[in-house]
Amino acid sequence: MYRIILILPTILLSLNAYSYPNFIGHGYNSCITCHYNPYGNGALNDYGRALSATAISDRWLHDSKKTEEEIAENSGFLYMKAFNSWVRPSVNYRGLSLKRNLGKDTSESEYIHMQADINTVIRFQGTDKYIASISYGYAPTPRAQKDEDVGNYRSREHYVGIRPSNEFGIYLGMMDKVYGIRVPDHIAFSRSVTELAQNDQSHGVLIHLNKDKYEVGINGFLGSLYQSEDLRQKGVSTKLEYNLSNISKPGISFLKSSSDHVENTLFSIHGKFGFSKGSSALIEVGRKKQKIIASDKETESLFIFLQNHILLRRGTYFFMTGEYFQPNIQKESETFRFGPGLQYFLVQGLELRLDLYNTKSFSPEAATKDSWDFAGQIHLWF
Amino acid sequence: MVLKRIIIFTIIIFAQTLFANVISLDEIKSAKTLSQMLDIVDKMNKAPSKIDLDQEVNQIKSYFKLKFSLLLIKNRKIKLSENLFMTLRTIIEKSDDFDLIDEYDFDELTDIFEIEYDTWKKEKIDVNYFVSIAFYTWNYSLELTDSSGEEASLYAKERGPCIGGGLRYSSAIWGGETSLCYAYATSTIGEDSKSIKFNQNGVPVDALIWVSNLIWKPKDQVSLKFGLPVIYHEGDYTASTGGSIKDDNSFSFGYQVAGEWLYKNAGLEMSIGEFKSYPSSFWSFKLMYFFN
Repeated sequence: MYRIILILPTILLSLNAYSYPNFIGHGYNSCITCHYNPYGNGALNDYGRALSATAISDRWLHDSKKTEEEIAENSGFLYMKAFNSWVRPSVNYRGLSLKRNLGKDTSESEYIHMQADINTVIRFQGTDKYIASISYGYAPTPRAQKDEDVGNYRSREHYVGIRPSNEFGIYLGMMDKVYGIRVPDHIAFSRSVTELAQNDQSHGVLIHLNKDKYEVGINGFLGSLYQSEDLRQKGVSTKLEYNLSNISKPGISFLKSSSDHVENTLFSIHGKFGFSKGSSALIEVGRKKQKIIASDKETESLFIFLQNHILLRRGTYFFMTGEYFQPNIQKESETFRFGPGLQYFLVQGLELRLDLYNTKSFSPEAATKDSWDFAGQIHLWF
Repeated sequence: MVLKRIIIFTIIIFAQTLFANVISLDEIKSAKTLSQMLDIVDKMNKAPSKIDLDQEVNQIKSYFKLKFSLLLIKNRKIKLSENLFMTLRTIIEKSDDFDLIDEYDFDELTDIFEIEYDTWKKEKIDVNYFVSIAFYTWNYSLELTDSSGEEASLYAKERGPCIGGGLRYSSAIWGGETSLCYAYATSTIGEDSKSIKFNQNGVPVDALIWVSNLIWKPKDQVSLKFGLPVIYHEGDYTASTGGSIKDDNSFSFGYQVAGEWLYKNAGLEMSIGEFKSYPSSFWSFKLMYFFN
């Protein structure tokens, strides 16, 4: 439990939003529909930009006479039409206003520039068949390394992709590992405990197969080549999902990796489900086995993630997130986190999000008080 | 002899009933007034249920049945019901396979049907019973008096399943529901001040939770709920030798906000709220099954 308390401020710093699996509620059950990366994150493709400008975002800033087609047409870089077929630039900014320990003497507020990236996708032959994607930008210093020079400018993603058909693709470079539901909440135990958060990308190769009935990805990785070699987690991960319908997609994931110090084995099952038009439920249940090689000590943890969205009106979502984490299944200590939130896409390129987190920790030895945190995010992308 | 007469009489009556409801196409086409249409729709509803829709004449009769029904609904001569809705929906679905001349425009009638259906759906009130199983967690305050008469506050963290059911009354947009569940929870208690040290784990707690919710449905399968929960709480806490614990039994009330996601007859509800005088919040995850 104490480890979680120590980790929490760090992971709150890496709270971020990339891909939106809840859009299964709109019938989009595969990330590749909108992203160049088949598992989401990073740059949006032309269809994804058009979709974010129309079906996803509110339209009250637009003239009522403007058609959806016109809005979609001007959804390119800086609200322009695509100026050629082979290059797709974009910029991305995320800021977080964080207030921790609400109502306590230790309460504190801060504003964090979480991300300021420029990204370019080169489309060789002018299609998405052969692509190269590279992003470079600012990332804040993690709280745990506050006084260290960790380098605030880095590339989180750079890869080349070959997609000879809609059904098959192969990608080589630095990407997020393929595992579980890639939810926007990197504070979630399903992302932080599994070490699949904002800055956990890895160099490797991804093979992606997307058939009518199922989607499978196999990701071999060598760790981040920016890390010192002994820390690099090398291994393989895979995710298999089955399309029960376009709004119902259960799946399983597996990951095995090791460095000179730590071995990780992860397994989870998940489900993404759409309700009415635009609303959704996401659930992931997983276990992580971690072995510290020097001490030969093994710990097995359990996490559950549940997040449900309700589309209130076009562009506006109310959601509730419930999470459970047991750091060691041999012990009784548990942490529950629960909270409502509001997400608003005012217009393409502007997302506002408010989250309230109530964390309850249970331990046989003590009755600790709850903690409350508030996060307000602004996300700009052009 | 008597039996034979009874059988013949029954057959005649049955045949009369059967054939009285078989209407010719000319008779149908001649209907001009709403009362004539009402009569025809009534007869068609009573006609033998198995109609061969591969026959063109029956396809045309289905067209008129749909047309007259929609006119009667529009003029408030009949009300759309679940059965009538299913009957008309079946005609519309089957009409995709019909090969009739343009005079019998099912598409136009389908549009009218959808408008009538939407209106009916919005006005329709459903009453459903449901059973539920939930996981609840809340925090609780207690007062410990030790053997020397010193008082100190205790803090309890409690959680457990809650089994119950309720009743919902709702239209397509608004509704209300009331539910009751019995929770058998466990509690971990610790000190709430620096003056003492206290720890108990696994203390059994019973609670009855009654919730009344106002429901708003932004979409068919999802709801936002705003409610007033009432809780009766009873804990089996034990004080250290010679002391006593107060406030183990109590009534409280509060407020809550909840979201609900419905798939067919099953629902998932997540709620967060506060009970008066309880420290911090309570939450619940509830699975519900609705009876039609």
